[in-house]
Formats: sequence, structure tokens, C-alpha cells
Amino acid sequence: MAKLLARIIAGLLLSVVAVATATAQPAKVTIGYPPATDFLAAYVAKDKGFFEKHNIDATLTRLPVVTNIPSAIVSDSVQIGMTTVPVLLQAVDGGLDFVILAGAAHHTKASPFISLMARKGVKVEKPADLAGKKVGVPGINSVIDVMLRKWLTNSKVPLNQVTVIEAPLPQLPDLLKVGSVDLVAIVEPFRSRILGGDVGTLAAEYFGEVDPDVLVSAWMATGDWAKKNPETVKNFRAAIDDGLAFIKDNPQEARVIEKMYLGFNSPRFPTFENKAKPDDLNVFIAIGKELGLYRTALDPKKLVLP
Amino acid sequence: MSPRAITRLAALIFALALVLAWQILAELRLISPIFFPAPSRALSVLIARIADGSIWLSLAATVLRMIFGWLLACLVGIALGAAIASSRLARDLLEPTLEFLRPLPASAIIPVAILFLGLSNAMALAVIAFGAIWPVLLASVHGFSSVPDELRNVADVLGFSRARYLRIVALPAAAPDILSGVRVSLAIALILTVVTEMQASLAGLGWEIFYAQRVYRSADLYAGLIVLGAVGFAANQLLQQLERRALPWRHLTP
Repeated sequence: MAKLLARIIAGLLLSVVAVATATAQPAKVTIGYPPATDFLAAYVAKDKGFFEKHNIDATLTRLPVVTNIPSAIVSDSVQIGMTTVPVLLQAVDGGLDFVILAGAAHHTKASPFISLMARKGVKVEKPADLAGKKVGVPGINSVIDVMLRKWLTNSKVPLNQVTVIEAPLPQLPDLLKVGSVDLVAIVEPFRSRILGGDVGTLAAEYFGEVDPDVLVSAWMATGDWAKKNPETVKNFRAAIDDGLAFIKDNPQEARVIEKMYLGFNSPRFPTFENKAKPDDLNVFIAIGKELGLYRTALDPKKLVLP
Repeated sequence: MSPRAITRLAALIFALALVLAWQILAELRLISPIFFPAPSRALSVLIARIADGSIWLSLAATVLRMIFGWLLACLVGIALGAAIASSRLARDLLEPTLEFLRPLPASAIIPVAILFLGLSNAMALAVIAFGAIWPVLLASVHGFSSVPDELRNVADVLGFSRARYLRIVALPAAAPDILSGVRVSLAIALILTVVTEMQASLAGLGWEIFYAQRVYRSADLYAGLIVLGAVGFAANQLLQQLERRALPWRHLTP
């Protein structure tokens, strides 16, 4: 009897140890990001150990093409990936199950970092001047492209009169320089490089003209993964919060980390935003409806994890 | 039923069996339908695009680009092949450079072509011609080099000029080889047409497939692939008919 009792107690103790060990094991998460300053909070969280502090064994993986990130998440190459709202909406419209876990950056009219740049010698004073021109964008149906088309539509410029060409972001200044495109819709730091390198001029702060304050980038995962890993989601958000707090208190050191991950420093930080709300998606859902981008009804409440 | 008819029927049944297997696999949902739609969905999209007429402009753009690039490759390939086969000097001068250029993947020269020619139809034609020229060129060199000695001797005896020799003796003799090269070249031209449309955002089937992938519309993507396959099949059949008419003696049974 005593032996049996001892065995039961030993078994229970072993179970407790096993559970405790399992709980203490950090969650392995691969995080996919494109090279942009929007995600500085994640680079800081990795570099400063905030992920580890919140029990996440994070691996940051660079994925240069934003529109490939949903596929990377679905194939489980990464569990959390960067997104812009149009990319998320297209993926969901196509039948994929994604939710936003946290915000990354807002674009504001007061502090623009996405602009339309014209090659030197190309005169653009109003949206109608883009008719017959070629515009390079870093992704068809990217947030940069979608907002550009909305800007043209707002000014009644027929979209079929403007040729939009996709090229990798780092190539856009070169394409502008050699005349392959007349304008580029581009993000920092390439925006400043075009101005500083005397390649082009600022044609329009179109992004801010369409909407003065819009959530541009965010973090997402599949709804299924988020449901199965609520603790990891909570810890990820906490790590990002810590990263943002660090950037605010230590901007110079944050710049060093930015250079380490991206190989460059942006002229200024974007407006970081770690919270995402369903309302943040409404502007893009409305634009997408107007431009005929989506075939299904998209409910923003289902696309942002509370 | 003739043996040929039986073979054709068997080929059709085999193709239909593959489509049926595709449909069954898609219904089983072993792979997400977002990435692997059923053929019925792809065909529905295709039928809708034919019905509303939106397919024709894209199809025309792709086919025209393919044909012009391929024709350019054939003209230059046959001319160069004739030159290399008929002139020791031309062979010695050109061969090393051609052997250097031949292994270069045509898609790898796209960035260079964009710098020189921009994101334009001219760029696309240059890339298509560059990639499609090699089968025609090599086949032409072989064909022109393999003209039977008896025919050369007849041309010598009759005092043919070089141009007359090429036109009346060498080209017909080399035609079987050249046509074989031309058929392979057409397939390459189609591939490169699609690639250049994707890279340079040129309107056409390639661009539509690229866009469908971007916006996760897999049925549209597969519909585009079906059309491309049909284009390749139809083009090959046309060339085979052309070969039968141009070289009737090849198909005579003793």
C-alpha cells in the first residue's frame, strides 16, 4: 500500500515537473519582415531581449517581397509576418484565414514617408498630369499602389491612362534615373535618396491627400494559429510594446539597431503604432470596394484580434 | 478505326483522366482550394472571360508578342546558321562568342534589356528573340552543313552563285532540320513572352497570371495556364501542318 502510494505521488510529481517545464519552454516563433523601419520595434525586441523576457524564442527572417509573406505564413515558414492592410484584405478575400495581431506604423499627413516622386524634367502639377505616364510601384495592389489609384480616382483621372509598373523597391530609383518610368511611388529612405541624388523631385504627397492618418503596416498570423497560441500572441504584443518604449527613450541606440537590421537609417522614424483597431481597416475596405479589388464582403471586426 | 485515330483517342482519354484525377484531388481538399482549385472552377472562370470578351485582348497581346519575337529569332537564326555553315571565316569568328552567349538564361538578361530598352515591347521582343534563337541557329548550322555532297556537286557543275545555291539547294535540304529547330524555338518564345510580361507589367496572359497570384485568385491563375497550354498546343499543331505541306516527301511511306 505504501509502495503504491509512493508510486502515485512520484508520478504526480513527475507530471507537475513536466508541465512546469513545458510552460517554461519559450515559444518558438519565426517572424517574417521586409526591410523597413516600420518594424523597428521587433528588431529592438530581438536585439534587447524583450522577446526572451516574454518567453518567446524569436527568429527574425527577412522576406523582401511583402506579397509573399501570406504564403510564407500559410506554409508555416513563418508564424507571424508583416502585412499592409490591402495585402491582408486581398489574402482574406481570396479565402485565407488571417488576423492582425498588432499594429506597426501609421502614415500621417504631418509626417509623410510615402510620396510620389517625378523624374527630373517630368512636370507634374496635378493628378491629371499622370495620364500617359508610367509609374513604378513596389508592388501591384500594395498599399502604395492602392492609395495611388484612389488618389487618381478622387481626381477623376481614368486609371487605364496611367501605366503602373511593379519593380522591387531598391530598383525604383534606378528605373526612374534611366527613364524606364516617369514617376515612382516610394517609401523612405529611397524617397530622400531620390531627392538628395538629384534624380527627381517631389510630385505629390498623395498618401496624405487621400487620408491624413492611416494604419499602413501591421503584424498578422493565421486565425487558427492565433487561437491556438493566445499566450504567445499576448507575449508578442508585450515584447513589441517594450520595443516601442525603448525606441522612445533611446532613439539613438534604436538607430544603431535599425542600421544593423536594414543596412540604412531612415531620415526619420515613421509614426509607430502598436495597437490596431477594426476601424483602421475601413478606409481600405472602402477603397477596395470602389476599385473593384475584393469579391467578398470583408468584416473588419473579424480581421483584428481583440 | 485507323491506328492513328485509335492513338489520338487514347491520348484524349489519357488527358481527360488526368483532369478527372485533378478534380478528385481538389474535391478531397488535400491541398487548400485557395492554392489548388478544381478544374471546374478554373474552367468556369475561363468560360466567363470568353463570354464577356475580356480574354481576347490579353490573348492577342501575348500571341502577337510571341510571334514577332519568334519570327525575329528565326530570321536571324537561319541567316546566321547559313553564314556559319557556308563560311569557315564566319564560323571561326562567330562561334566562340555564340558559345559564350548560348548558355546565358534569357531571363537573366532581362535587367540589361530593361536598362537599354525600358519596360517596353521592344525589351520583350529582344529577350524573346535572344532566348528563342538558339534552337533555330543550331539546327540551321547542322542542316546547312549536312547538305549531301551530290547536291553540292550538281550546284557547282551548274555554276550556281552562292545566293542561288543557298536558295535552291541548301535551304530545301536543310529545311527538315530548320523546321525541327523552329518548333522548339516556338515553345521557348511562348515561355519568354510570359516571363517578360510578368517582369515588365506588359498587358497579356503572363501579366494576368502574375496578378492573379498576387491577389490569391487561384482559379483565375489556373484559367490563364489553361489558355497558355492551349496556345502552345495550337501553335505546335499549326507548325506540324506547315511542315507536312512544306516537306511532303518526309511523310511519304515507301
